[in-house]
Amino acid sequence: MDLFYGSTVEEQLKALKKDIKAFALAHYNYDYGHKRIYVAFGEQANIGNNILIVSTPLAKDAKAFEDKNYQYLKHILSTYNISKFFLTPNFLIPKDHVSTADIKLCSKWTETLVDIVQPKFIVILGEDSVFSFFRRKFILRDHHGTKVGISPQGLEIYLTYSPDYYNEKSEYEDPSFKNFIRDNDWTTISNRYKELVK
Amino acid sequence: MPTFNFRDVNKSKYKNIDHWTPLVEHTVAFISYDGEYPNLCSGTLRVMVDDDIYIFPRRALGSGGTCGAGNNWEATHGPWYITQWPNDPIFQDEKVRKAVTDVVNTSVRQGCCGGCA
Repeated sequence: MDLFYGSTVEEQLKALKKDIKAFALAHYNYDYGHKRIYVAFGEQANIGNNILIVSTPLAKDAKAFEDKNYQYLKHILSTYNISKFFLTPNFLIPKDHVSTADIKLCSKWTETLVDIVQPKFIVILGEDSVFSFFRRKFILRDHHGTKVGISPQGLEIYLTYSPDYYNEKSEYEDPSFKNFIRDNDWTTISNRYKELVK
Repeated sequence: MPTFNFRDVNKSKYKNIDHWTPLVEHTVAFISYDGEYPNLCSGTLRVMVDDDIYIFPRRALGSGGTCGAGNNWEATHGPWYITQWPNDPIFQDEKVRKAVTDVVNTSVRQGCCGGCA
């Protein structure tokens, strides 16, 4: 992995995007052409003082970070007063079916992004996003809302449900239970946010 | 605009992703074992690790007991040990191996059953 991505954030992101384009062409035979590539959503002023949210992959045809699930995630974040954040999908290349092997391959870009945005801690949305940081699986129903991992330097990783879980409504699922889970998880995360992010 | 200093790649905080430490233990659960008298030790074991079901090779269990002829034909019981593991990297973890062995010992009645005597 090349960490010498220039000196400014813009240069680093530009180099990262260039590398991802080459990677997509080599591994997935996907040519971006003149299309824009979306790596992260956030404000540059928050670099070094934010949380990084690793979410499910972007929908192939939808506008980046504007589909139903991202809107719901932004709603959750504003509800819990989390304003300084960066949002990145666990898989960056447009693809129909994203497997865990794909996410593992793409994990090096997520890792580089962690180096660029320098978060205070990381929030993983969904069970598959775990493969962006670990080679093993965590059971979401057992470990949601908890700290599931830590880097050697003490960067914490929290796990919670992705917004699709709340948006998908079926007859046998109790919405009040989902609301309870959402409150439980995001209260833990927002408390940690208040402690670490200034 | 925030600026970055050039970093030495050897001093990078996130050089190797495998250095991230999980704080959560694996979840191991017993599913089934179809060995029974007179071949208690030659069944097929199914175990669930982190919500994935793994099928062990046949005769993967070894009985800690013995059977033989002394004054009478008799069989002694002992804890199970596992001789063959599924071909998956998750079983290279010593903690997982110990957890699977423990769950087998609490779920399958101990041999030897004496069927081979």
